[in-house]
Amino acid sequence: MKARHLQPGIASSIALILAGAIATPALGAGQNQAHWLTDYDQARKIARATGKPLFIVFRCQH
Amino acid sequence: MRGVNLNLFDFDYDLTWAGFFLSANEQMYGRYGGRDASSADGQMSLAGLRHAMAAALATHRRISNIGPASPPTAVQTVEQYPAAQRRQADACIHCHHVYDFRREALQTAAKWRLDELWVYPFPENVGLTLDVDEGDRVKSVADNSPAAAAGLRAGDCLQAVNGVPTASLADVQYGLQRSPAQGIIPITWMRAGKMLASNLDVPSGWRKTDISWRWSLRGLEPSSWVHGDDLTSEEKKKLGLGERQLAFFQGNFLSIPARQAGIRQNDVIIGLDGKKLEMTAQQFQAFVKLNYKLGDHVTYNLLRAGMRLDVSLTLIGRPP
Repeated sequence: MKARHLQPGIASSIALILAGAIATPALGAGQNQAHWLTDYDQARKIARATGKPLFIVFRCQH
Repeated sequence: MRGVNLNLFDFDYDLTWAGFFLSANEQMYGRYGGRDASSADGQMSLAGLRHAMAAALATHRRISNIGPASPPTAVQTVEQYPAAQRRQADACIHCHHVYDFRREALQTAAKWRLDELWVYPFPENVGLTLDVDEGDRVKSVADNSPAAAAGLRAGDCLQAVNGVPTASLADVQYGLQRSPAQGIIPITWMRAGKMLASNLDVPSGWRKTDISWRWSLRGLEPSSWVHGDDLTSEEKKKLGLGERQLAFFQGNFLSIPARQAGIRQNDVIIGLDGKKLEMTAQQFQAFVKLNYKLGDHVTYNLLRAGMRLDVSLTLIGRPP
Protein backbone atom coordinates (compact mmCIF):
# COMPACT_ATOMS: atom_id res chain seq x y z
CA MET A 1 0.00 0.00 0.00
CA LYS A 2 1.64 3.20 -1.14
CA ALA A 3 0.77 6.62 0.17
CA ARG A 4 -0.21 7.82 -3.28
CA HIS A 5 -3.17 5.45 -3.18
CA LEU A 6 -4.55 7.58 -0.41
CA GLN A 7 -4.68 10.70 -2.57
CA PRO A 8 -7.43 10.59 -5.17
CA GLY A 9 -7.74 13.82 -7.10
CA ILE A 10 -4.50 15.14 -5.73
CA ALA A 11 -3.48 18.55 -7.00
CA SER A 12 -0.19 20.38 -6.89
CA SER A 13 -1.27 22.43 -3.90
CA ILE A 14 0.45 21.70 -0.64
CA ALA A 15 -2.71 21.84 1.46
CA LEU A 16 -5.43 19.58 0.20
CA ILE A 17 -8.77 19.47 1.87
CA LEU A 18 -11.43 16.86 1.60
CA ALA A 19 -14.57 18.23 3.14
CA GLY A 20 -17.72 16.30 3.80
CA ALA A 21 -16.47 13.07 2.34
CA ILE A 22 -14.76 11.60 5.33
CA ALA A 23 -17.35 8.87 5.53
CA THR A 24 -16.90 7.86 1.90
CA PRO A 25 -16.33 4.12 2.15
CA ALA A 26 -14.11 3.73 -0.90
CA LEU A 27 -12.02 6.76 -1.71
CA GLY A 28 -11.45 7.09 -5.42
CA ALA A 29 -13.60 4.11 -6.32
CA GLY A 30 -16.10 4.68 -9.10
CA GLN A 31 -19.05 6.86 -8.11
CA ASN A 32 -17.55 7.35 -4.68
CA GLN A 33 -14.75 9.37 -6.25
CA ALA A 34 -13.72 11.92 -3.66
CA HIS A 35 -13.95 15.57 -4.52
CA TRP A 36 -10.98 17.44 -3.14
CA LEU A 37 -11.11 21.10 -2.28
CA THR A 38 -8.11 23.38 -2.03
CA ASP A 39 -9.82 26.33 -0.36
CA TYR A 40 -9.73 25.85 3.40
CA ASP A 41 -12.36 28.45 4.22
CA GLN A 42 -14.76 26.99 1.65
CA ALA A 43 -14.17 23.52 3.05
CA ARG A 44 -14.97 24.74 6.56
CA LYS A 45 -18.22 26.31 5.33
CA ILE A 46 -19.26 23.05 3.68
CA ALA A 47 -18.31 21.06 6.75
CA ARG A 48 -20.28 23.40 8.96
CA ALA A 49 -23.32 23.27 6.67
CA THR A 50 -23.29 19.50 6.38
CA GLY A 51 -22.22 18.73 9.95
CA LYS A 52 -19.39 16.58 8.70
CA PRO A 53 -15.76 16.71 9.79
CA LEU A 54 -12.83 17.80 7.66
CA PHE A 55 -10.05 15.61 6.38
CA ILE A 56 -7.07 17.72 5.46
CA VAL A 57 -3.96 16.49 3.72
CA PHE A 58 -0.57 18.13 3.42
CA ARG A 59 1.68 16.68 0.80
CA CYS A 60 5.25 17.65 0.05
CA GLN A 61 7.38 16.43 -2.82
CA HIS A 62 10.33 15.46 -0.62
CA MET B 1 2.61 26.34 3.55
CA ARG B 2 1.76 29.98 3.05
CA GLY B 3 -1.18 31.05 5.20
CA VAL B 4 -1.36 27.78 7.12
CA ASN B 5 -1.89 28.18 10.86
CA LEU B 6 1.12 26.35 12.26
CA ASN B 7 -0.38 26.31 15.74
CA LEU B 8 -3.30 24.28 14.44
CA PHE B 9 -1.53 22.21 11.81
CA ASP B 10 1.39 21.41 14.03
CA PHE B 11 3.05 18.33 12.58
CA ASP B 12 6.32 16.80 11.48
CA TYR B 13 7.11 19.13 8.62
CA ASP B 14 9.62 16.74 7.06
CA LEU B 15 6.86 14.27 6.22
CA THR B 16 5.92 13.55 2.63
CA TRP B 17 2.28 13.13 3.56
CA ALA B 18 0.29 14.17 6.63
CA GLY B 19 -3.45 14.06 7.27
CA PHE B 20 -5.72 15.69 9.86
CA PHE B 21 -9.26 15.07 11.00
CA LEU B 22 -10.98 18.04 12.58
CA SER B 23 -14.28 19.80 13.00
CA ALA B 24 -15.41 22.89 11.13
CA ASN B 25 -14.64 24.71 14.39
CA GLU B 26 -11.06 23.48 14.17
CA GLN B 27 -11.24 21.03 16.99
CA MET B 28 -8.62 18.43 16.20
CA TYR B 29 -9.88 14.83 16.28
CA GLY B 30 -6.80 13.01 15.09
CA ARG B 31 -3.88 12.72 12.71
CA TYR B 32 -2.56 10.27 10.20
CA GLY B 33 0.85 9.84 8.59
CA GLY B 34 4.44 9.21 9.56
CA ARG B 35 7.61 7.84 8.11
CA ASP B 36 11.03 6.58 9.09
CA ALA B 37 14.47 6.41 7.50
CA SER B 38 13.68 3.28 5.52
CA SER B 39 10.88 4.66 3.34
CA ALA B 40 8.48 7.59 2.91
CA ASP B 41 5.31 5.52 3.17
CA GLY B 42 6.13 2.22 4.85
CA GLN B 43 4.35 3.35 7.99
CA MET B 44 1.07 4.04 6.19
CA SER B 45 -1.67 1.86 4.75
CA LEU B 46 -5.25 2.31 3.56
CA ALA B 47 -6.42 0.09 6.43
CA GLY B 48 -4.52 2.27 8.89
CA LEU B 49 -6.07 5.41 7.45
CA ARG B 50 -9.53 3.87 7.63
CA HIS B 51 -8.92 2.94 11.27
CA ALA B 52 -7.88 6.50 12.14
CA MET B 53 -10.85 7.90 10.20
CA ALA B 54 -13.29 5.68 12.08
CA ALA B 55 -11.91 6.92 15.39
CA ALA B 56 -12.16 10.54 14.19
CA LEU B 57 -15.76 10.03 13.11
CA ALA B 58 -16.64 8.51 16.47
CA THR B 59 -15.12 11.51 18.21
CA HIS B 60 -16.95 13.89 15.87
CA ARG B 61 -20.31 12.28 16.64
CA ARG B 62 -19.62 12.39 20.36
CA ILE B 63 -18.35 15.99 20.36
CA SER B 64 -21.22 17.18 18.16
CA ASN B 65 -23.62 15.98 20.83
CA ILE B 66 -21.77 17.76 23.60
CA GLY B 67 -21.45 21.30 22.32
CA PRO B 68 -19.13 23.82 20.70
CA ALA B 69 -15.43 23.25 20.19
CA SER B 70 -12.65 24.73 22.25
CA PRO B 71 -11.62 28.37 21.59
CA PRO B 72 -9.69 28.95 18.37
CA THR B 73 -5.92 28.75 18.50
CA ALA B 74 -3.76 31.82 18.01
CA VAL B 75 -2.60 32.05 14.43
CA GLN B 76 1.04 31.65 13.55
CA THR B 77 2.08 31.37 9.92
CA VAL B 78 5.34 30.60 8.21
CA GLU B 79 5.38 34.13 6.79
CA GLN B 80 6.18 35.40 10.27
CA TYR B 81 9.70 33.96 10.06
CA PRO B 82 12.35 36.36 8.70
CA ALA B 83 13.66 33.70 6.32
CA ALA B 84 10.20 33.48 4.74
CA GLN B 85 9.98 37.24 4.41
CA ARG B 86 13.21 37.26 2.38
CA ARG B 87 11.74 34.94 -0.22
CA GLN B 88 9.92 36.22 -3.28
CA ALA B 89 6.22 36.66 -2.65
CA ASP B 90 5.30 33.96 -5.14
CA ALA B 91 8.02 31.49 -4.16
CA CYS B 92 6.81 28.16 -2.86
CA ILE B 93 7.28 27.43 0.82
CA HIS B 94 7.39 23.71 1.40
CA CYS B 95 6.58 21.93 4.63
CA HIS B 96 10.24 21.30 5.52
CA HIS B 97 10.94 25.03 5.20
CA VAL B 98 9.06 25.50 8.47
CA TYR B 99 11.88 23.65 10.24
CA ASP B 100 14.53 25.52 8.23
CA PHE B 101 13.02 28.91 9.00
CA ARG B 102 12.40 28.09 12.64
CA ARG B 103 15.99 26.94 13.05
CA GLU B 104 17.32 30.10 11.50
CA ALA B 105 15.17 32.23 13.81
CA LEU B 106 16.38 30.31 16.86
CA GLN B 107 20.01 30.48 15.71
CA THR B 108 19.73 34.23 15.22
CA ALA B 109 18.40 34.51 18.77
CA ALA B 110 21.20 32.21 20.01
CA LYS B 111 18.53 29.83 21.28
CA TRP B 112 19.02 26.92 18.93
CA ARG B 113 20.33 23.63 20.34
CA LEU B 114 21.20 20.43 18.57
CA ASP B 115 18.45 18.73 20.57
CA GLU B 116 15.93 20.64 18.44
CA LEU B 117 16.59 18.05 15.73
CA TRP B 118 15.08 15.16 17.68
CA VAL B 119 11.49 15.83 16.71
CA TYR B 120 8.54 13.44 16.60
CA PRO B 121 10.17 10.43 18.26
CA PHE B 122 9.06 7.00 17.13
CA PRO B 123 7.13 4.71 19.47
CA GLU B 124 10.12 2.38 19.08
CA ASN B 125 12.10 4.93 21.07
CA VAL B 126 10.10 3.91 24.13
CA GLY B 127 10.01 0.24 23.12
CA LEU B 128 6.70 0.08 21.26
CA THR B 129 6.13 -1.19 17.75
CA LEU B 130 2.65 -0.43 16.45
CA ASP B 131 0.52 -2.18 13.85
CA VAL B 132 0.61 -0.25 10.55
CA ASP B 133 -3.01 -1.22 9.79
CA GLU B 134 -4.26 -0.34 13.26
CA GLY B 135 -2.07 2.44 14.53
CA ASP B 136 -3.08 2.23 18.20
CA ARG B 137 -2.51 -1.52 18.45
CA VAL B 138 0.75 -2.66 20.08
CA LYS B 139 2.45 -5.16 17.81
CA SER B 140 5.41 -5.83 20.07
CA VAL B 141 7.18 -4.49 23.12
CA ALA B 142 10.96 -4.43 23.33
CA ASP B 143 12.55 -6.12 26.31
CA ASN B 144 13.95 -3.83 29.01
CA SER B 145 12.29 -0.78 27.45
CA PRO B 146 10.25 1.97 29.14
CA ALA B 147 7.11 0.41 27.59
CA ALA B 148 7.95 -3.01 29.02
CA ALA B 149 8.62 -1.48 32.44
CA ALA B 150 5.24 0.29 32.26
CA GLY B 151 3.53 -3.07 31.75
CA LEU B 152 2.52 -2.83 28.11
CA ARG B 153 2.15 -6.00 26.07
CA ALA B 154 1.59 -7.01 22.47
CA GLY B 155 -2.10 -6.71 21.58
CA ASP B 156 -2.80 -3.79 23.91
CA CYS B 157 -4.74 -0.90 22.38
CA LEU B 158 -3.28 2.52 23.21
CA GLN B 159 -5.79 5.12 24.35
CA ALA B 160 -3.61 8.14 25.04
CA VAL B 161 0.06 9.11 25.15
CA ASN B 162 0.96 12.14 27.22
CA GLY B 163 -2.72 13.07 27.24
CA VAL B 164 -3.12 12.89 23.46
CA PRO B 165 -5.88 10.48 22.36
CA THR B 166 -4.39 7.90 20.00
CA ALA B 167 -5.75 6.10 16.95
CA SER B 168 -2.68 6.24 14.74
CA LEU B 169 1.10 6.40 14.68
CA ALA B 170 0.79 10.14 14.02
CA ASP B 171 -1.23 10.59 17.21
CA VAL B 172 1.33 8.63 19.23
CA GLN B 173 4.20 10.64 17.76
CA TYR B 174 2.31 13.87 18.48
CA GLY B 175 2.03 12.85 22.13
CA LEU B 176 5.68 11.83 22.29
CA GLN B 177 6.76 15.08 20.63
CA ARG B 178 5.27 16.99 23.57
CA SER B 179 6.96 14.80 26.15
CA PRO B 180 9.96 15.78 28.26
CA ALA B 181 13.59 15.20 27.31
CA GLN B 182 13.81 12.92 30.33
CA GLY B 183 11.30 11.71 32.91
CA ILE B 184 7.70 10.56 32.93
CA ILE B 185 5.23 10.19 30.06
CA PRO B 186 1.68 9.16 31.05
CA ILE B 187 0.20 6.40 28.93
CA THR B 188 -3.16 4.61 28.97
CA TRP B 189 -4.31 1.54 27.10
CA MET B 190 -7.08 -1.04 26.87
CA ARG B 191 -6.58 -4.74 27.49
CA ALA B 192 -9.45 -7.22 27.44
CA GLY B 193 -11.98 -4.42 27.89
CA LYS B 194 -10.18 -2.94 30.86
CA MET B 195 -8.55 0.50 30.90
CA LEU B 196 -5.00 0.50 32.24
CA ALA B 197 -2.66 3.38 32.97
CA SER B 198 0.99 3.78 33.79
CA ASN B 199 4.01 5.96 33.05
CA LEU B 200 6.84 5.60 30.60
CA ASP B 201 10.04 6.49 32.43
CA VAL B 202 12.31 7.74 29.65
CA PRO B 203 16.05 8.32 30.05
CA SER B 204 18.06 11.23 28.72
CA GLY B 205 18.53 10.94 24.96
CA TRP B 206 15.41 8.81 24.46
CA ARG B 207 14.29 10.97 21.52
CA LYS B 208 17.36 10.24 19.40
CA THR B 209 16.85 8.23 16.24
CA ASP B 210 17.96 8.05 12.62
CA ILE B 211 17.08 11.45 11.18
CA SER B 212 19.22 11.17 8.06
CA TRP B 213 16.07 11.07 5.87
CA ARG B 214 14.93 14.51 6.96
CA TRP B 215 15.01 17.07 4.18
CA SER B 216 15.35 19.93 6.66
CA LEU B 217 18.65 18.46 7.80
CA ARG B 218 20.21 19.47 4.50
CA GLY B 219 20.26 23.11 5.51
CA LEU B 220 22.15 22.40 8.72
CA GLU B 221 25.88 23.07 8.70
CA PRO B 222 28.52 21.85 8.49
CA SER B 223 28.30 20.09 5.18
CA SER B 224 30.63 17.14 4.69
CA TRP B 225 31.44 18.48 1.19
CA VAL B 226 31.60 14.90 -0.11
CA HIS B 227 28.58 13.20 -1.62
CA GLY B 228 27.84 10.10 -3.61
CA ASP B 229 26.25 6.70 -3.85
CA ASP B 230 26.87 3.75 -1.57
CA LEU B 231 28.90 0.85 -2.87
CA THR B 232 26.94 -2.33 -3.38
CA SER B 233 27.56 -5.31 -1.14
CA GLU B 234 29.50 -6.94 -3.97
CA GLU B 235 31.67 -3.87 -4.49
CA LYS B 236 32.43 -3.72 -0.78
CA LYS B 237 33.32 -7.38 -0.73
CA LYS B 238 35.78 -6.94 -3.59
CA LEU B 239 37.51 -4.18 -1.65
CA GLY B 240 37.62 -6.24 1.52
CA LEU B 241 35.15 -3.99 3.31
CA GLY B 242 32.49 -5.10 5.75
CA GLU B 243 28.85 -5.31 4.68
CA ARG B 244 27.76 -2.42 6.91
CA GLN B 245 30.91 -0.34 6.71
CA LEU B 246 30.65 3.18 5.35
CA ALA B 247 31.74 3.17 1.73
CA PHE B 248 30.49 5.52 -0.94
CA PHE B 249 31.84 6.82 -4.22
CA GLN B 250 32.49 10.52 -4.45
CA GLY B 251 30.09 11.45 -7.23
CA ASN B 252 30.78 13.44 -10.35
CA PHE B 253 29.75 16.70 -8.72
CA LEU B 254 32.87 17.57 -6.77
CA SER B 255 32.49 20.45 -4.32
CA ILE B 256 35.16 23.15 -4.36
CA PRO B 257 36.39 22.37 -0.81
CA ALA B 258 36.66 18.66 -1.68
CA ARG B 259 38.49 19.36 -4.94
CA GLN B 260 40.89 21.77 -3.23
CA ALA B 261 41.56 19.14 -0.57
CA GLY B 262 42.54 16.67 -3.28
CA ILE B 263 39.50 14.43 -3.31
CA ARG B 264 38.63 13.12 -6.76
CA GLN B 265 35.58 11.71 -8.44
CA ASN B 266 35.16 7.98 -7.72
CA ASP B 267 37.30 8.07 -4.60
CA VAL B 268 35.68 5.74 -2.08
CA ILE B 269 35.07 7.42 1.28
CA ILE B 270 35.42 4.75 3.97
CA GLY B 271 35.98 6.68 7.16
CA LEU B 272 36.46 9.95 8.97
CA ASP B 273 39.28 10.80 11.36
CA GLY B 274 40.27 7.16 11.47
CA LYS B 275 36.85 6.07 12.69
CA LYS B 276 35.50 2.93 11.09
CA LEU B 277 31.87 3.88 10.64
CA GLU B 278 28.97 1.54 9.99
CA MET B 279 26.39 3.58 8.13
CA THR B 280 25.10 4.59 4.71
CA ALA B 281 26.19 7.63 2.72
CA GLN B 282 22.96 9.38 3.72
CA GLN B 283 23.53 8.62 7.38
CA PHE B 284 27.09 9.87 7.00
CA GLN B 285 25.82 13.31 6.00
CA ALA B 286 23.76 13.43 9.20
CA PHE B 287 26.71 12.09 11.21
CA VAL B 288 28.92 14.99 10.15
CA LYS B 289 26.24 17.56 10.92
CA LEU B 290 25.56 16.08 14.36
CA ASN B 291 29.14 15.52 15.45
CA TYR B 292 31.21 18.31 13.90
CA LYS B 293 31.18 22.08 13.87
CA LEU B 294 31.89 24.67 11.23
CA GLY B 295 35.62 25.20 10.96
CA ASP B 296 36.56 21.74 12.20
CA HIS B 297 39.49 20.13 10.42
CA VAL B 298 38.75 16.55 9.44
CA THR B 299 40.61 13.75 7.73
CA TYR B 300 38.74 11.67 5.20
CA ASN B 301 39.93 8.09 4.91
CA LEU B 302 39.47 6.90 1.37
CA LEU B 303 40.39 4.37 -1.24
CA ARG B 304 41.68 5.39 -4.67
CA ALA B 305 42.46 2.64 -7.16
CA GLY B 306 42.71 0.24 -4.27
CA MET B 307 45.20 2.40 -2.34
CA ARG B 308 44.37 3.78 1.09
CA LEU B 309 44.70 7.59 1.38
CA ASP B 310 44.01 10.22 4.01
CA VAL B 311 42.86 13.67 2.90
CA SER B 312 42.48 16.69 5.17
CA LEU B 313 39.62 19.11 4.71
CA THR B 314 38.19 22.04 6.65
CA LEU B 315 34.43 22.03 7.15
CA ILE B 316 33.81 25.56 5.95
CA GLY B 317 30.36 27.13 5.66
CA ARG B 318 28.35 27.47 2.52
CA PRO B 319 28.55 30.82 0.74
CA PRO B 320 25.60 33.10 1.63
